[in-house]
Amino acid sequence: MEDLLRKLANEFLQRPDAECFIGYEEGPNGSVRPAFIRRPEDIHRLVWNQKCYPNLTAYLPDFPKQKRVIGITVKGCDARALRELIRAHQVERHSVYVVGLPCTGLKTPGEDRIAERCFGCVFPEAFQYDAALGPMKTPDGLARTEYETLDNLSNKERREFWKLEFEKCIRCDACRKICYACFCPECILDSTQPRWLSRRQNLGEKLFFHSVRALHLVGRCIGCGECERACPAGVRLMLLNRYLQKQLEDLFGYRGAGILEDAPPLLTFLRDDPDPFTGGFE
Amino acid sequence: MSSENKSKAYQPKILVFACNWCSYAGADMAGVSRLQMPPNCRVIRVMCSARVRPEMILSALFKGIDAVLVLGCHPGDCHYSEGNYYTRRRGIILKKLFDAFGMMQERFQIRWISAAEGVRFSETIREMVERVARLGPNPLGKDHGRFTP
Amino acid sequence: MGKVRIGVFICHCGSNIGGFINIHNVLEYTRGLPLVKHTEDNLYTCSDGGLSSIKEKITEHNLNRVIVAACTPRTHEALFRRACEEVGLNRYLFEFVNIREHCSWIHMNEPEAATEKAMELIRLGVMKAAHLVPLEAASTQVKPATLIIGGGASGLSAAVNLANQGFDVHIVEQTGKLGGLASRLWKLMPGDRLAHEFVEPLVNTVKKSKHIKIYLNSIVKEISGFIGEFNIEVKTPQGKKDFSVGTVIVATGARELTPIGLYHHGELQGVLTQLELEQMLKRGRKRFRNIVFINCAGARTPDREYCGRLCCATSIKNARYLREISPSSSVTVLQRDVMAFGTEFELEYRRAQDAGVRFIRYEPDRPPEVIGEKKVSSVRVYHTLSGEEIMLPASMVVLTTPLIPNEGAAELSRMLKVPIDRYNFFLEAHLKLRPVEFATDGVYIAGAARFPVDIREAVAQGIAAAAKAAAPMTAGEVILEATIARTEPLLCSGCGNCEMVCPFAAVEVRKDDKIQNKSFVNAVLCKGCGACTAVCPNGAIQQLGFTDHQIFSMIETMAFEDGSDVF
Repeated sequence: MEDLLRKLANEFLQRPDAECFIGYEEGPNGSVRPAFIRRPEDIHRLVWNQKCYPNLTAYLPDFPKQKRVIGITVKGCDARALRELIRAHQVERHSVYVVGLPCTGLKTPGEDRIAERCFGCVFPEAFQYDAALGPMKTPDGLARTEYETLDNLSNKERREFWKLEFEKCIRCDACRKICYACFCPECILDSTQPRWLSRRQNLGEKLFFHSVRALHLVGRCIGCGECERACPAGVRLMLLNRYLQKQLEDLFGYRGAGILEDAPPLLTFLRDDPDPFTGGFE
Repeated sequence: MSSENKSKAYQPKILVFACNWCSYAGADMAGVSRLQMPPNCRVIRVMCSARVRPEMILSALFKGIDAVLVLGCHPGDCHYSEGNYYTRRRGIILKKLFDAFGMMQERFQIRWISAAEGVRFSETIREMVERVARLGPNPLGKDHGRFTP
Repeated sequence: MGKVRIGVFICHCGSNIGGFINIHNVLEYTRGLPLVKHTEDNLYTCSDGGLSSIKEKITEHNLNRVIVAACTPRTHEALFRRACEEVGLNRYLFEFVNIREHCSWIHMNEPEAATEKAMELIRLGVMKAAHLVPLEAASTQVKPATLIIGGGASGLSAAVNLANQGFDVHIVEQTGKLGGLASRLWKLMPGDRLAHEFVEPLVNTVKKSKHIKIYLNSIVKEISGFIGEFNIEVKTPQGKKDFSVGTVIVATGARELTPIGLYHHGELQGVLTQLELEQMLKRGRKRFRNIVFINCAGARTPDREYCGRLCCATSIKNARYLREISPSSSVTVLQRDVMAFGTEFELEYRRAQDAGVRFIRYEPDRPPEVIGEKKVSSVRVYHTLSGEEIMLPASMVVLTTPLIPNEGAAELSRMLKVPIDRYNFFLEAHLKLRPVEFATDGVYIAGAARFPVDIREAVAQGIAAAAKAAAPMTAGEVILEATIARTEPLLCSGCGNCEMVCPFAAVEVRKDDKIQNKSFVNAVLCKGCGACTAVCPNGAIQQLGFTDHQIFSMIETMAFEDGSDVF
């Protein structure tokens, strides 16, 4: 498949309007990192394997809007992110050349089993790729694989759990930096007017940081788990994001970012939404 | 500080957002009707309950304010026709976030109060204060019992 | 923030505030707050003296923000804003703190706590005021034309009034003729004049006017736009008609409740409503035998709690007429209370009694029973005062039913974005202060569509609504909201959240001159609700006058009294 990938990238770079081809290449110590290929001589660096973790679409909003086209390789989850970016006017479909990677699951770093982030995988049904290295469909088995949840923890246990998790958090912002959905020119969490978030390292501030991230991602998180992988302290961020995603499904029938054209849950409403706020307090 | 000050009973401090057209007017109605209620609430006026963004609620609770109450028009009666539908959705999802964290669930409430419902406003305030008094001070608060008497 | 200089004026409101809150302590506290350069108390800040003081002190102390701590902003905010403007201070650099309705009046037994609360509320106000910026409201042209929905007494009165002032009027009437409910009545009380003697001249005046266009058998299909330019689509028998107007008056009126099944109406012959009786009288019927009226039929019940106001008067009127036309007949009125208010109705009540009409009281939990087979024959009722059950022979039972709104009210409410109550009566902006307006600018309400009225009231409200509608049309332009949304392009990512939630389609994401997607706010359409601001991920779009920075400052100072993160 890598031969086909390099062939497609080569053809793409011949185009007069080609700006760059974003793919994966080998990094130090057996890792895989993003590659920005601009010259045909560099195409041999491109790889496709089960360590291709990064979501390359995260780089697209940074490219200035212009008439040139950017080539990019996307797995199923990445394609969902691309759809969300298009919906949010960050990317125009005609300005990307999308090469589909027929991913059947990435490996847990350093181990020979499928990474937990790949459980519950769903490819976007109706997305049109410009080219693909194989059939782009949800891999069998993964879609139905259960992942770890907060469900079995009591209220008190959840409280204790997150207190410990957030003690580990060093406010390095890596999770925010790596997330495709965070593309604001200036993040609200960096704002000085108002200064919603200070640099104090107490629980309140950390809760605020992660709550705002989780809420801003609601309905847009693709479950790629890059935030957790990037976190130097191993904070279990995916537990939170997946919990909220499940609530959206249960409450509003929202099936997930970029899969179908379901309305973003915080930007729409139904006149007969559940209403736990009438009457007195229980 | 004298030991007297230290033993002052905990008095909740509750932040209330009230929309100009319905709930703020309802609060006025309660005032005009001289309905007495506990003095624990501070009302911030907004034009519509939809103006209240989750960061405001989170900021208040994670900085130690004991509770946040968002008041809006009854669904269907919003002066801007749809605002409170967004408030409602936002509230439901925020509650789920608090469920995930296992905290603050009861310290955040939304209630619908119309301009004529002075009694409902006073009852809501009373219930909220009682509930928050039972819960105790916000564990994320800077210092407990700072609010007198 | 530059050099913010805040002046705080604390009102005693006589003893309404001063009698419960320790103003002296509040003054001292306020003086110590940052950026406060002048503090004073007034007995009545809204008085001429108070307003003069504000104006003087603004000039004397070079104040550039003013706070009044007093009653609710919903009454006097405009007054104080004007005072600021008069000495050159932008009216939006003024902030109101409510320490009466929200403090002194509701904590009357806890003066210490109330005083502390007042201090904190003022501190919150100071934080907000510190972050206020001057705002300018845009304006828009107002077309000198009105749409009047409904051609009854109130609608016609409004139409004549507006036409006389030179405005163009479009009347859309869903039936085939003008005159409304009034034209279906027989005689009017007091005065005993035939209804058509009143209605016809009004209808003729309207028909003759060059300024008034009438659409009969027509309904309003769609209304879009806003004050100054409403775009109207009307469905007429001749097809679709479109036109624009500056203002809209809702005068859709009411109809009589026809309670099928209640007291066997529709099941037994001889059970009618008052209006059905009047049609009989119009047709000239003169012979009656025993008539029993049942008042409060379908009103003041759990399903319909209101009193219809005028049904009693109607029953008194018709009862007396029946006795005069047919002196040999017995006329009994079964009532729960006789609402014969004012001078005329009370006199008419006496007249009816003098004419031999019997009034018998019944209790709602023991309503009368209408008896008959195919045709009504008698009525059994528990006579409250005598404590006995009596049987009244009845060849006719007339149900006095309340007025209910005409159909189409719910649809109109959606089209115009104006509220209705659970009975489908329209809700005015304010019961006392704005009785013929809606909260929505440029839309007015008159007549029975708001609540059951008699013809006098319908006419008065029609004229009032016309006067209100004439104001913006005469001025030719209307000043819009100043506290609207505004995007800071440098922060905007063009994500479109704001565009999705705006209830008025006032925000649009499109390419700016650097082909970047940014959101743009239409100042004319924006109503200042703030929904966009709440969904903007980073606060690029802000509602002026209620910005994140302003509100955050208030939250911050509530959590940390020293406000260390605010400045």
